[in-house]
Amino acid sequence: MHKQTLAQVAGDLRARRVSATELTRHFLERIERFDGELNAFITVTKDRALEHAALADRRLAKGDATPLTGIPIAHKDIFCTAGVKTSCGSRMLDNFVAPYDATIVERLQNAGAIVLGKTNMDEFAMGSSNETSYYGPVRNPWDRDLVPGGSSGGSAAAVAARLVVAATGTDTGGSIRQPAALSGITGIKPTYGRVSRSGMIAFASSLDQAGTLTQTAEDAALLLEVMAGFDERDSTSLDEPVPRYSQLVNEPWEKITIGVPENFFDDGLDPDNAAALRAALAEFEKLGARLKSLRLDHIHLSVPAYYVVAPAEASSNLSRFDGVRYGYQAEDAIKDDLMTFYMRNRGQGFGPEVKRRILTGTYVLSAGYFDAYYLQAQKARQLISDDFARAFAQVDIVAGPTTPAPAFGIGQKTGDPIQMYLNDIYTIGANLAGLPAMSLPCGFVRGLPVGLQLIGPHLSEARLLKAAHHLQRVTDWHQRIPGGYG
Amino acid sequence: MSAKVSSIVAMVDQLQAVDTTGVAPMAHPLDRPQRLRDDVVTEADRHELYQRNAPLVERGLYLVPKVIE
Repeated sequence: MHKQTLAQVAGDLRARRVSATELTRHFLERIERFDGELNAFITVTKDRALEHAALADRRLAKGDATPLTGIPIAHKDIFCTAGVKTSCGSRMLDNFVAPYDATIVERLQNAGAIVLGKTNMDEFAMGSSNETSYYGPVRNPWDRDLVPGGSSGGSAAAVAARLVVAATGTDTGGSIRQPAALSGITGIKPTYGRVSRSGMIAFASSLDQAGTLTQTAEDAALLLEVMAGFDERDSTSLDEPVPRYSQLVNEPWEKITIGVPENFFDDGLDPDNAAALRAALAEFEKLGARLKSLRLDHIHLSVPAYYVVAPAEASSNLSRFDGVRYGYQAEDAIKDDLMTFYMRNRGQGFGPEVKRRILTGTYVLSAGYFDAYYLQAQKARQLISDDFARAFAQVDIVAGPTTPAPAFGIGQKTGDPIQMYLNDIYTIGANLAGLPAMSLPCGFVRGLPVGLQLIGPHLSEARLLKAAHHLQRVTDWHQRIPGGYG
Repeated sequence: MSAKVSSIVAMVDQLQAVDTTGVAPMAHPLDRPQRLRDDVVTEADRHELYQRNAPLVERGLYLVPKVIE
């Protein structure tokens, strides 16, 4: 039953061909069997999941179920879950039990989804390989010597290995799309503000957005229509109606124009990835889409602009972790003077990548440097955003690579932060401009999955999901399961 | 640590070469203002629940090292 999509499992649950309890037990057994080798979970909430499954079965029997009632999912450990450890992949929060639920946790629970646990992630979502986690790296189910991508690496690996039907993630610079691409699944980062950030531990508040990791675009639509929508607890939440994505994706194909940024296909892209992407774009053409070449002239500024804006916001957001009200406090730190107290709590509680970003962020915000770095980065961000606006005046969707190459080896890029950052060169632009973007499987290179990225104008999630769904109806890349997990 | 932070700062220095004359710095990805709400209390007092996560609490107060001599 783990080979089925969320849409198929939902159909079986409602037809009573399987119960929520049977499904939950099946997936919990798979987690027990496989997670030792993958390390995708930080916490497994077995007893709570079985209790919720029993409740879901009663709802299904009464006939007041939603399409998500009884579906086993997992949350990235960045989302607060009341009464359950919420670590954000950090020693700093290893002892933190969230006192309330994130809005999306609450919404998915109200819909009847069953949470099997919390997934591993890069510390405070800062990373592209899941290697910065306090809980150790997640392994890629396609090849366990490789990374699954990050920062939502645990969610991606768990969905790819069919340990859950679907999972949540967050994306600040590519943290949903990049692991989805490297793990052979579908991931969407909605428009900035589309999904509430309340209860999602903040990294870079002007870029952070929650989304989904699933087998298919149709599954993403089913989850997103529950997660999205206005939330008064998030000051940047968009007060816009939520379309019925799961119905819209099934509507007939419309002739669309897909923009292909030629500078996404330059020397930085693995030639085999490029070939797989061109083949996938040809499939879109067969469906009746028109391809149009274009350029995004300032996209090369996205990595440097991001590494000013994101660390600046992170240095401010992470100042709350002082070891006083919650989080890590060093042994006997209370006996130190106040400065030593803070230095020991934060020095021992944060890992090296988080410290690098706090230092970088504090530097670019410091007096005398603010204009040269932060203000200049915000201007570059405007230039990147304007490039996309010009593109969307001519095309409906922009399509290109999600990553420069397939998954890389564990330890291969940890020595050089810049090499690691360049993995997100194609994904960061959408975050800087607040645009919805997704990645879907589009082929294999050397036995490893390749992701195709689709980017749309603000609030065009339905258009992206529909295009992806129509492609997935005529291709089978998303149905491949890594060896040993079938 | 300092060598790696220096390499990050050197990378973001690429921004200095960009001509941004006349470009307004982006304030919000969707160019929308921040929403305001009435200035009223909306949260209940749940300090007992919240303080369960605190490393050191005494009589409802968070403990820190002595700061006044």
